[in-house]
Amino acid sequence: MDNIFVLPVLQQYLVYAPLHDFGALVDHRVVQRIHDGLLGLGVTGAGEVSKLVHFLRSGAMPAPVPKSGELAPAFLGLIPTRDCNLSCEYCGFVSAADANGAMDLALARDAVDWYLGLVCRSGAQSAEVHFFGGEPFCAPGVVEFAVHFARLRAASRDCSVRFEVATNGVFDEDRCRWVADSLDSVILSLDGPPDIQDQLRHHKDGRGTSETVSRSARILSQGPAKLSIRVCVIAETVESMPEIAAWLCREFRPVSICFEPLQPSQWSQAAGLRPPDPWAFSLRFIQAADILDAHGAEPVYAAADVRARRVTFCPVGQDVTIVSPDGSVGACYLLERDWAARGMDLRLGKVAGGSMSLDPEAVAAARGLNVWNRRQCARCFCKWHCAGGCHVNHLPSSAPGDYDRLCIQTRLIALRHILKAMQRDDLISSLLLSPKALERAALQASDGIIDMGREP
Amino acid sequence: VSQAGLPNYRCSPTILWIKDADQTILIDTDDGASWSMTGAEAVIWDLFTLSHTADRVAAVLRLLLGHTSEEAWRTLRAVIQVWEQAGILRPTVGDRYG
Repeated sequence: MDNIFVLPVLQQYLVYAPLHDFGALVDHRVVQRIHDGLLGLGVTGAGEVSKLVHFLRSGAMPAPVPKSGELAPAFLGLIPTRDCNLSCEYCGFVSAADANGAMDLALARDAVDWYLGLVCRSGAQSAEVHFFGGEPFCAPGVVEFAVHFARLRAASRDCSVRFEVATNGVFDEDRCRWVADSLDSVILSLDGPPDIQDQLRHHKDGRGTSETVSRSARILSQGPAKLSIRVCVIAETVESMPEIAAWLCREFRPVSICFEPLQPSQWSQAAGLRPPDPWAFSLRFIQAADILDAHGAEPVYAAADVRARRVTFCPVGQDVTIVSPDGSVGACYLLERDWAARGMDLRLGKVAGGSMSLDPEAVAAARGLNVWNRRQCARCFCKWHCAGGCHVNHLPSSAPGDYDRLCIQTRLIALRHILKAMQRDDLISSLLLSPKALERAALQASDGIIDMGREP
Repeated sequence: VSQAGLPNYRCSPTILWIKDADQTILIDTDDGASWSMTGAEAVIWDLFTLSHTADRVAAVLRLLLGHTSEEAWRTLRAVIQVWEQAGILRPTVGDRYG
């Protein structure tokens, strides 16, 4: 019952049961009968509703649970350097004080060796290494070395390894071809056509990056690595999201485009940049998604991935070990100052003297950061998809139904994805024309069918 | 010229190569000859295509393979000799790879 939800969709109701992989649009009489049947309040009788109630009572997959037992990282994260070659308007991710040079190659070797040993001992035959920054290719030798070492080591252990990198794409053509040929997945930050990109993502001397990044995106479009483009959306660009989507699909061949709203920071505020209005972001995302679908590129808003059934949104809680250039190991790739400012300690241990040492209590604490411990998510239909979002930057009110802008976006976009999967594009279009209906769906305090009144 | 007396190298301009997770395949567009490289050979090829010097390649090999510096140079020299004879790698001075 806790995982069966009801959302008003114009004149109908969406009965959504993510753990049954089930969704249905019904009228208010049917939803009432389902509610009563599930609570044993009435006789559902024979027929479809009765069958549905029986299915909803019995047919669920197990609810996702936090990690337990032996450490089993979803992937190994390496931060080759915290340095960056750009000075984006909204980014204070790395200041000179935080950048502390490149990771020593021996450190990268020890981290990869430890991780692959763990993977192989667990009996798994595939491993993943993700590179974060700063800009990872400010330390290209570390990325090269880690890729080569991991491939050689994995091959000797009959294991495969895949590589992913998040990059700004500001590198030369030779490097770009190497990336396209050597890695499996590239997350490229590119905020839109030259006027937007050059305003927001520029060199430290103010020169724009659109020419170089576009060249990189073209090369990456032709290589075997999967290209995903990450677009940071601000208040000033939110209305252009459909045009940005169309431009990116015209110019490049991404497998997906991820739109992420600006995460406010002292730097973005100093630059006078604001996050987009959540309603505008959702509407424009949905319009952009249709354009992307038509081009065969997947529209992504990470928190609204309705295919996911998870207890945590990000690496935190998935046993991911992220190794910094100084050898410290954390559960999160954000800077320590960011999570420490929220009173969190996401340190897990250290790589030193050729070996990895992790604090079991710290691992247990990271595992405890999951949606089971987010009371405000308990009755939200997105709970198993967004899992509460970023543990550091998404700190909504603790009251269920007190949705912040990230919740509103997630709920509206997830609803779109569900209706799309049900091939109800007509309802999506109608919803977009009805702000009141959107508000009704997005701001419903509890989606749990268990909380539904007699007169929904 | 490297510390070990080796020049820098670039691949022959007639060579095309393609990589996957398991191997690197080279094809000479002049005569259709082909080579498949795996393991340390594939790494060495990759590093030369990125314009690294022989010194740099040897240093990486040492760490990658757990070799002494001497062993790493021995491995590198042996591979280079074979490739030079096959015409897929050429010494160069101050030039970028082809």
